[in-house]
Amino acid sequence: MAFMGTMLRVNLTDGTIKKDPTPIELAKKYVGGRGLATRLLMNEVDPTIDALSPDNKLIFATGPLSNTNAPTGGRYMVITKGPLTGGIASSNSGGEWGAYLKKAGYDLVILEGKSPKPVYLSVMEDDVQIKDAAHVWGKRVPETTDTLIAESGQKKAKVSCIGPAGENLVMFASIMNEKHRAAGRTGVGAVMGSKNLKAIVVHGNKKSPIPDPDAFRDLVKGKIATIKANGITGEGLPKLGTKVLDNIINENGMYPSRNFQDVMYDGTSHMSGEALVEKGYLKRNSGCYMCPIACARNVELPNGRKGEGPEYETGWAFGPLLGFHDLNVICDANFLCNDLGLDTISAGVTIACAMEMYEKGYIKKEELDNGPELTFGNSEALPYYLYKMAYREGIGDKLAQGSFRFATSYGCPEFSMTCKKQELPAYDPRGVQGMGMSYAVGNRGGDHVRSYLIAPEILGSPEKLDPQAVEGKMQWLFIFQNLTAVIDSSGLCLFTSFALGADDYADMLNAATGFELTTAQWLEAGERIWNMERNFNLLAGIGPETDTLPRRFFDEPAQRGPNKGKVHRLPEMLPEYYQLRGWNADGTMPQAKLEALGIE
Amino acid sequence: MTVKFFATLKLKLGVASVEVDAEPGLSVGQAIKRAEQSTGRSFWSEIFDQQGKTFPGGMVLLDGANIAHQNGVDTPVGDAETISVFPPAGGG
Repeated sequence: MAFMGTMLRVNLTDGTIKKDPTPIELAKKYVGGRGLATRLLMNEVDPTIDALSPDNKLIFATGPLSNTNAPTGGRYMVITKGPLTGGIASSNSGGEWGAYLKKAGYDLVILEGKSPKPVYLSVMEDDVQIKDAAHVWGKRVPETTDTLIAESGQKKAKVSCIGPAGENLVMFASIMNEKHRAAGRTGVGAVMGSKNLKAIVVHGNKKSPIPDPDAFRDLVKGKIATIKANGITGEGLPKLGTKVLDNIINENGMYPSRNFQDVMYDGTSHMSGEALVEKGYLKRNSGCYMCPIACARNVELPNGRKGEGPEYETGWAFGPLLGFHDLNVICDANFLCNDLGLDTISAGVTIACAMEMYEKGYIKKEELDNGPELTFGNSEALPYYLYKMAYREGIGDKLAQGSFRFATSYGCPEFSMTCKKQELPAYDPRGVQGMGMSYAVGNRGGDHVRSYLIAPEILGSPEKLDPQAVEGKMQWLFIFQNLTAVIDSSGLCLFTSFALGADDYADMLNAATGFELTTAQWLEAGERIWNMERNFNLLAGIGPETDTLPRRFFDEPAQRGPNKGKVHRLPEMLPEYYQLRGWNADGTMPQAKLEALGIE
Repeated sequence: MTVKFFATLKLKLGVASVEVDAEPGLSVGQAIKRAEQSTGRSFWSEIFDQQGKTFPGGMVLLDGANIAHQNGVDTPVGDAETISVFPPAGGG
């Protein structure tokens, strides 16, 4: 039935470790991973608590397809109440850690309370221990990872850990696994830091129980063949990675630069995915656990620095958004964030916000303590202020709270390009109406991977929609949000959905779990997850008034390119979205909706 | 006018763009055929299916506007200056 059947409950305050049965009946309603963990969080945590208090819980969760040979079946999710938005936080990472948690015998780890001193959790099948982490506290991600693998005595042990940013409670700190993979968004690393938990080390050799392994293997072979035959997942992503999007999005006139003051960037070709290849920086691609796509970039710079990345979002946030395109600076800043455990999107957008504020006179030069000037195009500022943020030094202490709190403290929140206080990714809403709505109503705030409408609106997958059209878009948003909740919760990577459809995921989930649900029932589970997350936010005090975008996208039309003169048309779409969701006209959720979906 | 190549197409062709003559009434499809001749490499079938529609993830932009929302490969180039050709690609 694909689940290992056991979950760990670790109380960091008193040091107790319990092994509880995984609630399989709940998994049937909430799939696993993101869905099941959010259900458990809602059962156990008051949504109004302080996210960084010991009352919060931090859940590492796998899906039923994690640790199977389903394509990309290695992912895990981290679910908690987040410090950045104050609502549901949920972040997803690849690599192999998720598969190895299940190999150790566990579907989830629920972390409670707060340790009196820095510790890490060692999960070696039946041997589960809380261990002292004094020697790695303060260390960066690579050193922490190497040290704890050596201590485990298992060369193949996998480490998920925080860096200095998480320890210092930076509100957009990430959790890193295998040095380069990030549960990057929503500040889950700060919650881990608040619990004095440095890392979780996992290792084991157990297999996920599958009802008919031969039939499952044959089914999976067909799905892998479909992925390999698809132009996006079979050639585009392996060859150029996500950074292939730089030119695509720029040429479509929706590639934000200078803190979203412009919708295009003239130097894009110098830092694009193609440039990474042509300049010889890209050495090879690689893949996560059981991944037939292999989109990861393995890069070596002329200065000898090596690492993974940058992905599309990072390259943008550390380049054009800040008004420069030096690939060396971009890649090095990416490596630095991986080492420090910082979310690259929120970090870049926060610095961009500060640059606009500095240029417009809101931040005085004296506040920079002789540091580099915060002006667009000044690439020296990037690594300097990333470091200051991670260690909360000088103005970095305020930047570490994210752009919304930072700009608000100066009385100018309009310079913060955020939704629900989380920084926006690299698609300008003025050029893509559906994606803009996805930002505005996203349960975890400004985000691109909970309903990636760029696929139909720009890439034409599975069919081409006009990015400026508003008619019919909310139906697409509804379906993408629900399906993505299923894919995330299953333990697979969203990139498989360029090639696979809802029926494919239903096939694999049924074959792995034996649940025998229809595609419609799986999608209803996705709808249940989406509504439950929304309900968490409403209970946390994040109301429908936050279902909006920064004013810039309504008041300042795009100045050039194919979207010249366009603004975002949220007011025309929001009522339809609420109606499709079955919510009240004011965006609140009727009790009857929760009951209809069986949400307790 | 300029026909620009991107992603794996740019890497395969080894050039970022070519200039083609574009008289009044020329279609986007005809302009791309001229670009093929100019590069000496056939790439039409990597971009378009048998009906002349771009594959999912691929696109052709005429001064930034996707021809899928115009008249496809029959869209006249008019006074546009640039055609951008992308083979199937995606990310996130």
